[in-house]
Amino acid sequence: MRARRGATRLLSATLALWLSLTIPASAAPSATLTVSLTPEQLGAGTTIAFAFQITAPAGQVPPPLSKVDLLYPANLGLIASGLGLSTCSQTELETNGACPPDSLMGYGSALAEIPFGPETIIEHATVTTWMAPIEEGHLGLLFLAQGKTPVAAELIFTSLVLNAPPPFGGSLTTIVPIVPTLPEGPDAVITQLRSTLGPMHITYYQTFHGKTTAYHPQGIRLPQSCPHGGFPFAATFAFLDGSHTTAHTTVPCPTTRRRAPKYGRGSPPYRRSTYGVSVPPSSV
Amino acid sequence: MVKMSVTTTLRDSGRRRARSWATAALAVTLLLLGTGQTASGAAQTPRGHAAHALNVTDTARLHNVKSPGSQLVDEGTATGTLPGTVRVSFNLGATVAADFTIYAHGWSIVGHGSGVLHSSKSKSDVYVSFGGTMAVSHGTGRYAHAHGQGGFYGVINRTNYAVTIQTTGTLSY
Repeated sequence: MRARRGATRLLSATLALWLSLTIPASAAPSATLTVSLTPEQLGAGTTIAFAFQITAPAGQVPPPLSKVDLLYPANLGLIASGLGLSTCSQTELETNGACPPDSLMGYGSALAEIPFGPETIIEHATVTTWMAPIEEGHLGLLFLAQGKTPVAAELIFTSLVLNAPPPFGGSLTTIVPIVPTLPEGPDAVITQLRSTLGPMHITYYQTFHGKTTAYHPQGIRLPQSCPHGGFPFAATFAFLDGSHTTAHTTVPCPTTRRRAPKYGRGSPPYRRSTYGVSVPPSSV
Repeated sequence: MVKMSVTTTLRDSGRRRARSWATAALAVTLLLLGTGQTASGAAQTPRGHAAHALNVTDTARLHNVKSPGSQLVDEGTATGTLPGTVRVSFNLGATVAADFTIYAHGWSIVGHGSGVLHSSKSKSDVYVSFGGTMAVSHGTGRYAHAHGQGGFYGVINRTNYAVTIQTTGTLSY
C-alpha cells in the first residue's frame, strides 16, 4: 500500500515536470513602449510620438491584440491643443479613406505578422490618426492603418480618452479589431505601432474674411513644471487569448527651462525616452 | 442662547422647571432656524449669522488668461442673479473640472464644478460643450458662509480658449 502511494506520487511529480517542460510557459508575449515629446519645452505645445512593440519567444507569433490602453501623464491636454478642430466619423473614414484636414491628429506606421504555414509574412502599413466625434462624454480618435504589401488592406481602430488613476491624466483606450487573413487561417497579429499625436508635419486651414490661410496647430501643451522623475507613460496590452502584458516608460524632464518659441523658429530639443521595462505577462 | 443665560439667575427651587423650559425654548428656536434656512427670510442661526437661500442663475463670458498644460485660466464677467467678476481655472482632461471664484465689491463666492463633454451636432468641433454639477464651498463678506449646489454648463472655444459658462442652483448664506 505504502509502495503504491509512493509510486503514485512519483508518477504525479514526473507528469508535472513533463508538462512544465512541454507546455511553453513563456508563450505569452511581452511589450516595450517608447515615447518622445517634440519639442519638450515646459509650457509649450508638443507632439507626442509613441511606439510599442509586442514580442513573443523566438519562433513564435504573439496572439492577436484585442485592446491597448496608453496611459499618459496628468496635465497634458488634448482639448487645449488646437488639434482636432473638425471631427471624422468611422463611416466617413471607411467611405472616403480620408477626413477633413482639421481633424488630422498625427501620422505613423504599423507592422502586422501573418502566420502562413511555417512562415510568417510581414505586412507594413501607414497610419493616420483623426479626431472622432465625442462619444458618451469622451474624446475619440480613429487610427486608419493602410497596408499595401504584400496585401492591400485597410483597418480602423477606434480609441476613447478615458480617466486614469494618478500619476496619469488619462488613458487612450483603443479597441483592436480582429484582422482575418485566409479562410480558416490564423488572424493577423499587430506587433508594432508607432504614431504621433501633435502638430508635427500637420497643416490646418482657417478662413478669415473669405481668405484661407494655412497654419500649424499649437500642439499638446506641456505643463509649466515637470513631474518629479519625468513624464510617466504606460501601456497595457490585452490579447485575444486572454493574456495581458504591460510596459512603462518615462520621458525625462528637460534640463533647462526656456521660453516657448514661436512655432517654426529654431530647432527644438528632441527628447526620447529609454525603452521601457517589459513586465512579464500574466494570463487570465 | 439668551434663554440659557437667564436660567443661571433663577432660584434653586425653580431651576429644574426653568431648565426644561429653556430646553424646550432652545429646541423651538433651532426648529425655526431649520425652517428658516429653506425659506428666503432672515433668522438667527447657532453661528449667529443670517441664513438666506437664493435661486441663482448666472452666465459668465470668459476670455483666456493663460493655458498651461491641460489647464485653462479664464476671467470675465458674470451677469444674472450674482453679477460680478469671475475667475475660473479649468482642468481639461478626460472630463472637465473647474475651480471658480466670483467676486464683486466686498464679497466673493468660491466653488468647484465638473462635467463631461457633450457631442457636437455641428461638423466643426471648434466649440466643445460640457455639462455637470457644481458646488459652492465658501465665500467672503456677506457670503462668508455660502454653500450650495447646482448645474454647471459651458462651451469652450478651442481656437482662443474663451469659455461661456452657466450655473444654476441654490445658494445658502
